[in-house]
Amino acid sequence: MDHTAFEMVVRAYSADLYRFAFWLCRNRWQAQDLVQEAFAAAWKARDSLRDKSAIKAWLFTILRNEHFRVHQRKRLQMEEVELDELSQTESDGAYERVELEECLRALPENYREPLMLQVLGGFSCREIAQMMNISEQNVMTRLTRSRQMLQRLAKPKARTGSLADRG
Amino acid sequence: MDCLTLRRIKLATPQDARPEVIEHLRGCADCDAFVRELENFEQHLHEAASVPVPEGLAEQIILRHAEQQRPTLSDRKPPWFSRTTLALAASVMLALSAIVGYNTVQSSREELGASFIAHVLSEPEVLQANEHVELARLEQAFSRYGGKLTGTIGDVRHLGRCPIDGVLADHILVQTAHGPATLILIPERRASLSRPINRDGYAVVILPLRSGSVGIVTDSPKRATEVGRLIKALVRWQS
Repeated sequence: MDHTAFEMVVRAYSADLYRFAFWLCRNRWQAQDLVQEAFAAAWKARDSLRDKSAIKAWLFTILRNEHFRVHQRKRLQMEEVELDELSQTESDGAYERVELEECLRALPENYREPLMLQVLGGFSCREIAQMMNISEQNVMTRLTRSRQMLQRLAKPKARTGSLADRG
Repeated sequence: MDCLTLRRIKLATPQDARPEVIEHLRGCADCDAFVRELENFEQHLHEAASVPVPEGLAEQIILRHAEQQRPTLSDRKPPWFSRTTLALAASVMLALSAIVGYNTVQSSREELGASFIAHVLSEPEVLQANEHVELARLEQAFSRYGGKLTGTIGDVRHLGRCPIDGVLADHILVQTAHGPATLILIPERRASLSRPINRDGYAVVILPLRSGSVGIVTDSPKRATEVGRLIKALVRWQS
């Protein structure tokens, strides 16, 4: 990768990386620094990029590694909740952006991270599993639960019914 | 495929449209409603996740990259380059600067100080920031300039990177024992301004760093000098 190609990569992916960084550290200044550091690390490691078509996943992985390197992660204890215990809101279509943002902030990190990789990065469960070094099944479980939690958090007063009831 | 399986699949991968999913949805009104609701939720989720990106982010990254890639003196020395020629050139430059340079240096460091104050005035919201920045980030910022902090300057309330005077600088707000102070760590511009200059109600002093400068901007000349002394006492230079 030469300097011109690097500039094109920065222009193509800096926005997506910033958004992912923001949801990793939930601070815009730290996110900005993190993206800077990730691109600096990517330039240094450019020879390690073998598959040019996987550049996006490669950049996201570098950013994730930088985040863990800089901000020693404090793993939050997950609340283990059975799928059938969680409620599913009835359809009224009213999700407030601000409210959802707040709920995303409140989501445990190990749920939020794969969700943001899927929603912002557009990665498949297999790709997320490789990036996070966990099983694909684990990714699917986290994605399922993160959406259930968000729906529950976003509309606490809505009429509810369990998935089992509705199945 | 039963309803629970379909919902598990859709909650994990809402875009999943395998034939069994489509087939189930055709015959199950409940699941069809569930999926429609999920699609609506996904749209809102994507909007909520797409936080605004700082203006000029890509340009800042490219600028920093260009700075880091700029060849150093030792990388670009011509074949005739030697210690003797360097010493000779340095002597000539020193003599010339002694004759004509004083006013230029004085003026350029005052201009640098003025640009620090102008930057602080251009981002008034930073003066109100209280972001509880980790001390490690302040240490990291100083270490980029070859400095090591040996004590606490104060509570770091903001730390961002901003383009100032054509380069990317660290813009820091610290609540020190002497009161609030803005520190601007700027690369390449190495200058010293120990006597504060005043502009628009703010005062600035500048301390030279190993590879740049730190400007200290406060609302009083006395405080700028005091914080300058504090930083001077706390920063050690790494070899």
